[in-house]
Amino acid sequence: MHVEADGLGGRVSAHVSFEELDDYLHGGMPDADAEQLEERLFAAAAIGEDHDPQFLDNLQRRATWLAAEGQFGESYTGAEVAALLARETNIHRIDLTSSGDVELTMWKPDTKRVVVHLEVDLREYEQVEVAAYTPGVSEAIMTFRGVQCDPVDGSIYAVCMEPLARMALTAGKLHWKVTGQRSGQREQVAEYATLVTK
Amino acid sequence: MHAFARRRLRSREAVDEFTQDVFLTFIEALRRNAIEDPARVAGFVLGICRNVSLDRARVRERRAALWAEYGHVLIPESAEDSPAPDAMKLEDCLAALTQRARDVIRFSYVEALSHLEVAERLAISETNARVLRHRTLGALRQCMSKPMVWGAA
Repeated sequence: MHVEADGLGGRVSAHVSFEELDDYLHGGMPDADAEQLEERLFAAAAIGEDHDPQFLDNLQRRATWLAAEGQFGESYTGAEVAALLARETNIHRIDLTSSGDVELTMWKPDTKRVVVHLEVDLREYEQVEVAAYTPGVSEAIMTFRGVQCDPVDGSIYAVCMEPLARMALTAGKLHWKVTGQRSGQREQVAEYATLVTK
Repeated sequence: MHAFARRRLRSREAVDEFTQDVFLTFIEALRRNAIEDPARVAGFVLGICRNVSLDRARVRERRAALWAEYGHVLIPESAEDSPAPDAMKLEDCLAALTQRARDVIRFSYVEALSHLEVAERLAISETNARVLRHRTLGALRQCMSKPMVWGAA
């Protein structure tokens, strides 16, 4: 955003950088500088040039909502999933018990969350990642980073909102590779291929 | 206006209440024709924000009267409580971040901690926490601006 605005009386540069705004919001900016930034911020909003403030505002709202729903990239344990299943009824659970091709059945329309349980033992591994690949393509389309395993049995419980699960799992056949670091080396621990049948 | 409130207030409820107070005061000013030059509306609203932040007690006293008079004009916030498509996209983008990067966003934008508090939680310097957050915000913005990857499957 870099525009000139005169909405505050006199020409005021409305340029507000992403970093400035972040500092402003989190106590990294002295009050005198903050007052100047506020003038630019409001001038930018008046002429519709406030995309970055809007992005941060939306981020805050959506992130707060996801955190309240327990969907802020959390890794779940088996006990936490059991508690979730006891608390909520419209959860679909998928168990991937062994490597290889897995045909999944489409879940009920009123499903709110989908739990995917990967029965692997990652207790000896660090920096676990789960990467998704489309058939015949070597580059992952998505890599889930910082995945934590259940400390009891080393398996992974991924919980996501149903719309995201539907989008990810029903688009076609996907290959999933689970990797982790052990003794400084990244190793592949398991590989699955999923296809949801309608 | 939300940014102005967030610098001063932590909870979402307090931020929402603040912005409602500003809107109500602004609507009242509009009805009184108190804004002579429409080109200066941004400065006028900023002035209201500063007055409201300086004198919350007085605004609270007037709140009930302002709500009764102009409350129906405010757009209900209930839509914010429902999952929007970009929440799903954000869920996807957050999953691609490292745990530390997710933590910095959670501490800063969910728990509304300061640079210093985030640094203490992550046991890193304030400068490193700031750099990490700026990089993560950049990565998130880039991710959010792209179509979701699952369409490619």
